[in-house]
Amino acid sequence: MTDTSITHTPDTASIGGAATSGKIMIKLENLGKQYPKEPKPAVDNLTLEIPEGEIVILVGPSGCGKTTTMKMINRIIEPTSGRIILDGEDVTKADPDQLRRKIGYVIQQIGLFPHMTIAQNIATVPKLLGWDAKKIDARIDELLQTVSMAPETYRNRYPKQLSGGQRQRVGVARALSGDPAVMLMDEPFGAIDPITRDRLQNEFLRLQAEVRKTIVFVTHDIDEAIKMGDRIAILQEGSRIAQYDTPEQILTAPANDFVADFIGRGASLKRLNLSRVRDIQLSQWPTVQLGDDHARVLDVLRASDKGFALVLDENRRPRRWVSAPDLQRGGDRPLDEIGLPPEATVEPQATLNDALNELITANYSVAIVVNASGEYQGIVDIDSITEAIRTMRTDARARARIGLDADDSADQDAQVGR
Amino acid sequence: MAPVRRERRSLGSYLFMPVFLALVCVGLYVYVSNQELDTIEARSLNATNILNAIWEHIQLAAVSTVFVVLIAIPLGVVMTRPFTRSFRGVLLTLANIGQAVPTIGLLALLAVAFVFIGFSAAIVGLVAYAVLPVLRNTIVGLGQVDENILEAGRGMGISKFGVLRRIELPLSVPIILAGVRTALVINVGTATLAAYINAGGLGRIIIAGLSTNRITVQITGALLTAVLALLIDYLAGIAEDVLRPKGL
Repeated sequence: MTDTSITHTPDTASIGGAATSGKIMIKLENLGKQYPKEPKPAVDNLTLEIPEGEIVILVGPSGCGKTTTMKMINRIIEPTSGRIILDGEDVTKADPDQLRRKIGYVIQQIGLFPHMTIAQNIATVPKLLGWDAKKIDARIDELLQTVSMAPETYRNRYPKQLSGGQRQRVGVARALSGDPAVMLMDEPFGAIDPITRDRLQNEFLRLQAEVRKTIVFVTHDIDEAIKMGDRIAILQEGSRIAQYDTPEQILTAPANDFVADFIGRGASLKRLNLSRVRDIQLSQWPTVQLGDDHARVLDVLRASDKGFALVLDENRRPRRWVSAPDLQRGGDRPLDEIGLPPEATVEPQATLNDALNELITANYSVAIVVNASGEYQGIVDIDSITEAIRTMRTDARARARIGLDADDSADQDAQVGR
Repeated sequence: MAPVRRERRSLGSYLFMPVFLALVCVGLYVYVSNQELDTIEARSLNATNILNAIWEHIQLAAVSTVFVVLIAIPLGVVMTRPFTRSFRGVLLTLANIGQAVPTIGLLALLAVAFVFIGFSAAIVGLVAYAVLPVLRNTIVGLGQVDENILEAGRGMGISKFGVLRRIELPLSVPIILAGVRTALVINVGTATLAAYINAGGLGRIIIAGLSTNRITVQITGALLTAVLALLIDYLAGIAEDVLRPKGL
């Protein structure tokens, strides 16, 4: 697809191919959509730059034009004015079918082809791209593993044999199949129950940390926007940008009343969604090995002020909480048969909100942090959370002051796209 | 719209219809063999004549259904494409007229006004009558395909024709087939009228029975037509089960 329509803008031509280099992957220039017989345009002269490797969220109330905007990027909806520049190339007039094969597309209703197996669904774009059968086969297995579905179990199933969450995973795998640099996601987790949604969101963020796609993600849910977005564009009617900024900046310094209203109450609790467990100082609680004898465990407990020790197995996976009374009551029984099972494990990329939620219901009010393979990393307890909140609040106050000063000296447009 | 059965059938229900039809045929044979046949009856009720009539009848029904499919499915596809929105109503009205006009009237018209008789004329009449169910089911079948599936397909870069061929048509197969089955059964039934314009079929036997006032001949022709219609419906039902895409 390197034809004569390539237009190198200075900022894209000068930067190399490294991920998250600050390179602009998608540039919308004065994009507009005017439906015939409608008094106002659905999208009114939108200009937006989307950096490579980031998740940019388009969020706004119903009818603000966010979905229309997204669908103009792969030209499911044809713009009536303006330009779309993808990776330095003007694709406003390019062959839409060729264009779409390079852009992953996930919609809320997923739209798996019910008469095709999971493997056939995933193979759709690679086949269109003319890959050979062996490469396609390998890609199907790789993608199913990526989305945590055993290939040998699921390859030959049909969509109706999967749960909603599994279908969504296949939808994501299918969108990734042609290894597109860009993905468009239209409320991808909107039709899924809250528990599964939360898990899929976390899985998706983990996946994104590996694949580093440029993602345009549409939602009407500000909480999802805050959780998923590297950047958020809050859109008003006609897809006009009310604020385009990082989630932190939007929560701490809303550009105008519309943004403040849209964020709604509870901004400080929402801010817990912005810090991740990996960003804060974890508490260290005493740990012992599964094979340790009880005397050693008692020594460890005595040396600590916590009262409980976490038993780890040979792979450093948490197995049990034990206390001194547990040891006495347990007699000679092995460590994994006394005490309490470890509940409330979170991964480092979980938000403080998730961790808080886990720990307030868990034994001893702590959440155990484990990495992707389940190895123990540390503990989040109420102290680590309050410390994090205190830091955030201080920062927020400082930023709010700067924001107020800025309001005095500049109009609100200055904050847009900062 | 002809209904679509969702469940696959059990072995027992697969066996019931052929056994039942065989019993009817045996019963008919026993009944006819025990009659004293006069020469007029004997001319109609002999194996050669009956087998010929059945074969002609099958040809009438099969050929007309093939034409119905060739006409109605492409027409249904065209009528569900956005560019035909403006004249969709006109085409559907034409198809409705085809079914509203009595076949016997159409056949008479062809014979009297155009001096068009025999096998080809009968096919024209049968096709005109049976186009509507297939056309309507094709339109309904394509219309019921989930918009989101189509959008996903287009969004992945499948061409418009590719979406039609690989997604829309396979997903409409059960409903289209139900329409074809209806058309087949209609054609087996109305093909009895073809005998009036010298196109043969089991109608020949019935008409011979009517014009000579021979009840046994009438009953034989009518029963064999009914058996043939049920048998073809049964076979079409099996075809539906086999051809329905997996995963639906």
